[in-house]
Amino acid sequence: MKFLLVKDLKNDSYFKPIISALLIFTISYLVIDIFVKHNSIGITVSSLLNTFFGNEEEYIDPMELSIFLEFWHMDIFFIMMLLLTLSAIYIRLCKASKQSLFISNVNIISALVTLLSVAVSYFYISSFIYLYIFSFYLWHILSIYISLISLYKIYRE
Amino acid sequence: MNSSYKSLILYFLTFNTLLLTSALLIYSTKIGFIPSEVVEYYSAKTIVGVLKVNLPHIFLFGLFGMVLLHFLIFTNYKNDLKKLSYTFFTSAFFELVSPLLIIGGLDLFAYVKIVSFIIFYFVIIYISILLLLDIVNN
Repeated sequence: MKFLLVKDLKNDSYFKPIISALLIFTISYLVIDIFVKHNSIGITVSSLLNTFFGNEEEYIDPMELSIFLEFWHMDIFFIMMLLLTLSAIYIRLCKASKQSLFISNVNIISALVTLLSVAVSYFYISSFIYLYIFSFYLWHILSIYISLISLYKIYRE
Repeated sequence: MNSSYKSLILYFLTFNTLLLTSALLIYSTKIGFIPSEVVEYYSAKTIVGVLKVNLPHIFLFGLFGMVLLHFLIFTNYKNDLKKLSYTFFTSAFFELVSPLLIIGGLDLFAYVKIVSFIIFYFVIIYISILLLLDIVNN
């Protein structure tokens, strides 16, 4: 992973503000993503089920296949790029310690579970929505934590 | 290559597989692999409509290509990098441009659209396999 050509991020006065800005933007993205999802497809069991499968009593149409696929496609790309960049920064700043690798692995796996479970719940088993919601919050919280720890490492250590 | 970065690349390849799966599903459900289906799909579109879809893809294809291909520099397959880069970006270019030509009345470009999509798709799979092989062998 050679996105970051500078080896010593902490002591590079040119790179420090760039990485910090990237991390602040990442935190903003993660927080806003929760709000946007809350107001679009929903982030509770009932709202997600209503969005995906519709609700006759509330006159809600089910989500079309093409719309779901476009949503899924975009989500995969953004999560992939975000986690790849974030993990590369975090692992480098923490000098690939065991704890950082563990957190980074859990974060990426939970993001993968989010993407897989949302597809499984839409296409096959609706109860996978619970797994989706759990993993969705988990990877968001872990990513925010990783961003904050990285910011701390840049300025405090 | 550092082992922690190797695992990151493995994760990247997993996401990549999901991305390819979703792209294939979108292409097959919305457009189709038969030239007449491609012409029919784009006949109902406007140039502005296609450009709205193309706009993010132009930048993201470039970014994705750069990320995916730059990993090859650190592998034993770096000699193939130029060849693969040309194939990747040329097929991506025709994949994006051919719909505009179909709307312009050049139905023959439906074949270009299908072929460029397939080449683009398989070059990504091929690069991913090379990266996977390098990680497994080293």
